[in-house]
Amino acid sequence: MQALPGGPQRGDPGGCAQCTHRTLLIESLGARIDVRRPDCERLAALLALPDRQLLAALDAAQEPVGGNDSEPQTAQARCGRNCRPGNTVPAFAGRVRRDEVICRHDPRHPAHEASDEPWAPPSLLWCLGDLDLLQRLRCERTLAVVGAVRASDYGRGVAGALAAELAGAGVPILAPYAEGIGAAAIEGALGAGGAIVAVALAGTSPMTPAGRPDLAGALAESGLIIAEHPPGARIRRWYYPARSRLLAALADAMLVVEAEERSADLAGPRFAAALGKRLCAVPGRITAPTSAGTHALIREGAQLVDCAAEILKHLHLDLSGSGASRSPTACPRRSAQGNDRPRVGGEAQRVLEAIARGAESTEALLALGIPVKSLLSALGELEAAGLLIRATGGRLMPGAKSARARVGRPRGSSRGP
Amino acid sequence: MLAHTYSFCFDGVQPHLVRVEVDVRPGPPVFTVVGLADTAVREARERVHAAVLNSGLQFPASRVRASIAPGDLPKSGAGLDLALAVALLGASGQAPRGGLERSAHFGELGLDGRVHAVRGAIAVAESALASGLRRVVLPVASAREALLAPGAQVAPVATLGGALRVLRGGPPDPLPPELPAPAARRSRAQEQLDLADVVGQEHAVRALVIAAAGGHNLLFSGPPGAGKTMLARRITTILPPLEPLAALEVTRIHSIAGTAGRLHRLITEPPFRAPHHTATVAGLIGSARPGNVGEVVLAHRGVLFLDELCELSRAALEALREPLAEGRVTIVRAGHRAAYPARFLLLAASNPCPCGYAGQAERCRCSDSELARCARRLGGPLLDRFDLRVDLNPVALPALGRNGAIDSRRARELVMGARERQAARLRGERALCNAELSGRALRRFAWLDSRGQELLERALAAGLLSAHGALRVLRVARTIADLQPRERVGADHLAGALALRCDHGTRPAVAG
Repeated sequence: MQALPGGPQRGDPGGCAQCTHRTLLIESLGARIDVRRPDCERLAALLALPDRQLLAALDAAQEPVGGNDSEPQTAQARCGRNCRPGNTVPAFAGRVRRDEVICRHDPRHPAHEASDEPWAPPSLLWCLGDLDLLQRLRCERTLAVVGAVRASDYGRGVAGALAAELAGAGVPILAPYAEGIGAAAIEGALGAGGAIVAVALAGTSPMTPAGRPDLAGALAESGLIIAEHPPGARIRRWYYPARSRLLAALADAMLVVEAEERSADLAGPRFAAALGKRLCAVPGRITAPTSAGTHALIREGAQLVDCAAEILKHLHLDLSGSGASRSPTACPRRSAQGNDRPRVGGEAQRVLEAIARGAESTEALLALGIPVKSLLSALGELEAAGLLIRATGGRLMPGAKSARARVGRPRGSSRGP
Repeated sequence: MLAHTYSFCFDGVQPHLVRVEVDVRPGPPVFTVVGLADTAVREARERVHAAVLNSGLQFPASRVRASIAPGDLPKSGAGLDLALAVALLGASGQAPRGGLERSAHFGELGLDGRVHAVRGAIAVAESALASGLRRVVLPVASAREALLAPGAQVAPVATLGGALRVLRGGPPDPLPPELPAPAARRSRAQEQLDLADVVGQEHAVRALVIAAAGGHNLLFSGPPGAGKTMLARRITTILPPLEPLAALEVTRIHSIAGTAGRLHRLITEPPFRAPHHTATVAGLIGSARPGNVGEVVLAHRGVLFLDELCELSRAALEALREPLAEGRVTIVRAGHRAAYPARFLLLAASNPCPCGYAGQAERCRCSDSELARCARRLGGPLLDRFDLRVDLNPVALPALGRNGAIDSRRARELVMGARERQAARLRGERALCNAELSGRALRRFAWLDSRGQELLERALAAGLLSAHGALRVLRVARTIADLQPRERVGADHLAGALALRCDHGTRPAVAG
């Protein structure tokens, strides 16, 4: 294992001694940091403390981690000495072969040359993928798409569609590297070929929770995964609010697609609001627990958004003069007026309207008195035209190409096939 | 002295002719049986000994050797008792040997000399006929079943004494009275099942009719209480009766497995088998043990209904793949190899996720990984065998007052009409129904009109279908056209098939 150099150096697989030391200190104190209630603000305040005060705050002054040694050491040696008894960092130095580590003295670090940041930027960032995206995070207006891990089909569909549209329009997307809304947003942005940065809990360890192992390869290929904890680190409870704080801090606005009304889901968005970021939330049904959190956020002042153009407005992006790639042509509301919508027969049109009005299952459509043979033909036709999505459990949802505005508001002028 | 006669052993559902030889020599009174005999055959010595004595006949007080040839075929079952006993009587000079050598004997002996019923009588009678034997002596209880084989020469006997009488040229015992026709003794519960009971789920009924008409495998997916099992059980009311040859085949299988009780008529109703989801591989596909016929074989030419498909063991699901792909199962065990016919319609019901409420945000508490695990369990290759899939939801209360759109009688007429049109079209082909059409046969028999072609291309472009999935949708579209009936497959038929296709994942496509 090579010795780490003393100063910042581009492309170095480690960080500088100072940043490595700081990270190791936090890793070794990991077990002592306890957030019973996920609270990003308190966590950030704690993580922002200088070494000695941090030790004192955590009542860990007697620990052999001490902040007095200044000679550069290999990460492995440090790990071996400090981390094995507590088993906090299982020899991360051996596993960094693919992740690149950048420290705060690296100009690519999001908090490079910043001081007194209220969000306690991590000293080291483990990165895998296209590191140029870090630069774009710094220079462009970015959006974090967050939400519940246990999302509904509606939430996944909306997160995927909005992320795809915004990424396609040139907005870099940040998302948690997690199941549910995060995975849907990552998938959407990747599908649109846009810039996507996924924030993992630790290194490029498997997604936590591990629902979508298939996304890692695509992300490493054309996106970026970042994490403030080393690969293989034992996942602690406070890593979740710590990730939320990164998402809130790195983006210019945060979009909450679905969230339950519990602090684990709402800590990140509230911290984003506290940092002065623009907070947007997607409404849902008042009966769905997965939308209770977003409704609470809207009550607290978050902006209600229902299409990509709304979000672009909140990001203060100039829509007119920024070139074709940035104009939100794919916005559902806009494309509704366009003529790219596939033509379907009259019966299929009626079925689609019934679905948009809330008849979400085949049983519900049958109950409206639609004969079964023509109903099945209509469903097949609509699906082939991309106007209908058959989701989990046979739930029927209007597809991406369906003109939501038109079907949802039949009094509009442009009604008809 | 030496005497021999013929009998039968089963290897899978295939009867094998065996030669039973008995040699009686002066010597110590020992009775031995050679020829890879299993326990049941070796125990025959005790039954034969007692039965001979209790029938008032002589058991030779000398050395008795019995050999069952061919020597390398494992012999099993109690059906060889009767052959051993009459060969012994022939060898000891109590029966004419000439009659012995031209007939087969198959039956189990009681200690009192009575001849008990055996399984597989119909297959034995067919095989005896094919071997050129003059007659086959069978227990009276199995004789009516054996007579179902066309041209069979059967001599029913009630006792060992009766068998001796037949050998000496006497008359056989009378047949038992015929049982009433199966329609008359069909249980009331069966009689009461009707598709008209299904209300508010006409799409599922439609799928059942299509499945029955084209022989398509069908998967019902939905939460508990959505009516999956209730629907599946009603497929028996709309399936067409079996063709004569198929009826003979099915009767033979069920005779050997002993699942049909006393058979006095050919089984003409397609079998409906519903093994529990805790079924083992040996239970599903059968094992090397003779007479242990698997559920897939019992469902041959009928329906195999698997409730809670996801709960079946991984190995059991894997074992289903061969019969689904090939229409038969091959059981290979040490020193044993048997192929069974297993062409059935697979009807399955499954919860979409561990809690069963996938897709309902208000109720489903399953994570992505649990959903993925459930989807993985079914596996692409198995899911790939379903042509049709219906997602079911519980029906709202107001619908329960109504009557179903179609009753079983009408549905059965539709199904039989579609089957006739398929049979006329597929004359001379290997396939029996639309579900078995190969890709090449589909190109010949499922012409799409121009709008249908356009729709198919659109679905392929939208990524709804793989090339393989397109074939399955075309097969179903062919059946829907046959139901209407139309000779040409139109866009409407194809769209209907698309709506009922079997998706691979449970994850919605991300709209983009």
